Amino acid sequence: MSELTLTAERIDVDDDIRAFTEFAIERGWGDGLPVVPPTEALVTEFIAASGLESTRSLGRLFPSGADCTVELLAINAVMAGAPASSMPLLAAAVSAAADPAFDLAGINATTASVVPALVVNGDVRNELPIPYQHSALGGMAGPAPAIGRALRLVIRNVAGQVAGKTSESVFGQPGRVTGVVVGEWEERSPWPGLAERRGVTGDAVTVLGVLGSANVLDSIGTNGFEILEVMGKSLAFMGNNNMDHSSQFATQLMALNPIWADKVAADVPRFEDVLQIVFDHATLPIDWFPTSLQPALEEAGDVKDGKVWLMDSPDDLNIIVCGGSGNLHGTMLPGMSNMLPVTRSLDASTWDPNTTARRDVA
Amino acid sequence: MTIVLSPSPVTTVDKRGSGPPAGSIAGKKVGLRRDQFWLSWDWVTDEWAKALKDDGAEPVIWRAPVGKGDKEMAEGGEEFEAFLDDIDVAISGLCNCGSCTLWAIHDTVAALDHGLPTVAVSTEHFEPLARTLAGQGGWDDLRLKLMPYPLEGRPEDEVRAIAREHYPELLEVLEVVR
Repeated sequence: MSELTLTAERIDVDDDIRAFTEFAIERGWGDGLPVVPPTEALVTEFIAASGLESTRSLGRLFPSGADCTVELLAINAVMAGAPASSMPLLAAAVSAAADPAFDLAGINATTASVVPALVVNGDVRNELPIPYQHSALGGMAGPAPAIGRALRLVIRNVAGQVAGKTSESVFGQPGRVTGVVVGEWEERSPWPGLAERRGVTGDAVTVLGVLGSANVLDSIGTNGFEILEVMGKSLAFMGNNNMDHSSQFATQLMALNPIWADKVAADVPRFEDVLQIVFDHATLPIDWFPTSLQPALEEAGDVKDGKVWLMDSPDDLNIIVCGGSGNLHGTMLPGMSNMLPVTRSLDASTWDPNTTARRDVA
Repeated sequence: MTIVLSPSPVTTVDKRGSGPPAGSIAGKKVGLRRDQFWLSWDWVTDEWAKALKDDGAEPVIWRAPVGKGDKEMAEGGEEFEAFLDDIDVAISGLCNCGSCTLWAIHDTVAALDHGLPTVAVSTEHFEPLARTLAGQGGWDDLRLKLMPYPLEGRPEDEVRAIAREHYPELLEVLEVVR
C-alpha cells in the first residue's frame, strides 16, 4: 500500500464531544446523536483496517454523484462510533449500494421511507459481532447500530441525502438513523444463506431497500404450510409499495425464526417450493381495492385471475433465518419499488470496478 | 481544540445558467421524455405533442425504462443517448415524487449537457427538489415549467384541459419564437 495522504478538508474544532456534536449538526454533518471527532489519527487507523487504498473509490453515490472514497467512508465511520474492524463490511456495503441495480439515487430522493438494510453472512457475523439471534433487528448491544449509522452518515455526507432538500421522504423511519443491520443465523438455517443463494460465498453483505419492519404473529403455527400462508398474506397488504399501479416491481424481505424455518423445511423440502408458496399467497382480490384504484391496476397488468399479485415471480422474495428461539413471530420487511438487492463479498478484489449510475450518460 | 477531517467531499460546480433558448421550433424535433409512473403525464405529453405538431414541430416521445436486469439498463442508456442525438429540443418530466424527480432531472441535465434547449416539467410541490438537483449539476437557473399539484388522480378530460391551458407558458419558458 502506498504512503497515506489524506485529502479531506481539515477544520479546527472544539474537541468537547457536546460542542463537536453541535458543530456537526450546524455543518449538516450530523444526525442529532453524539458524533466522534474524526481526527487524522483515527481516520488513518480506520483506513488501515479496511485493507484498501485511501483514495480508492467505492462508487459514485447519488443524488450528489460524489465518489465515496475509502477515506470519506473512514471519516464517517469514525463519526458514527463504528469499530475500525467493521471497515471491510462497510466498504462492501457502500460498494453494493453504489451498484446501479440498487438505484440509490431513487432511494435517497423518494417520498417513501426506504432505507438500505444490510444482511450479513459469513464468519464476520461472529467476529464483529452482528446480531442474528435474540432481537436481531434491534435491541441487542453491540456494534450493529453504529455500523448502520456509519452508512447513514455516508448517505448524508457523501451521497447528499438531506431531508426536506434532496429527500422528499414523507415520514422517514427509525432505520434512517442507525440503519438496519442484521446477520443470518446460518447455523440454524435449513437453507444456504442469502448471500450464498445469490452466488457469493464466505463473508458477504447484501443491501436491500426496505420500507421498515413489521412483526407477523402466528401463535399457533401448526405446520410449515400455514406459516408460509400467514407470511405471504401478511406481505400482501394493500399499501405495500408493489400493490400500487405505479410500481413496476419490488422485492420483499422476510425473516423466519429458526423454529419456523425448521417446520417449513420439514414440510416443504425444496426451497424453490417455499418461495412459490409465499408467492402464491401474496395476493389480494382486485375487488377489495377501492373502485378508483382498480382501473390503473388493470391497466398496469397487475391483475391476473381476479387477484392483484404482490410479486412478479417467486424470485422477488428473499428469506433469511434469524431471531430468537421463542417461536411465535416472523418479520416482514416490505421492499422499495424498482430497485434490486445487491450482494458483495467482503473481499474487495472480487468487485466490479465499473460501477456507474443507471443510464449514466454524463 | 483539535483538527478534524470533513466527512463531505470538496465539490465545486460551475454555474451554467439555464441552457440555450429553443427559438423557432418549426421543422425541429421536440423530444418529450415520459416515465413509467404517471398516467397524467402521458396525457399531458399527448396533448403537448399534438400542439407541437400544430406549431410545425415534430414531436418525438421517449419513455424512460425501468428494468430488472443489466441488459435493460444498458439498453435504456443506449436508447436515451440515441433519443438525445435525434432531437433538437427536450421536454423532460415529470417531477412528481422523489425518485421520479431525481430521474427526470438526471435526464434533463443530460439533455442540457448535450447542448439541447431543455425544459423540465414539475408539479408545484416538487419545484424545490427539482431546482436543488439541477443546481448540483450546475444548472442553477433551470428552465422549469410548473404544473398544478396534484395532477395525478384527476379525470383524464381535466388533465388534458390543464395541459392545453399550460402549453403557451411551456413555450414561453423554452423561449420559443413563433
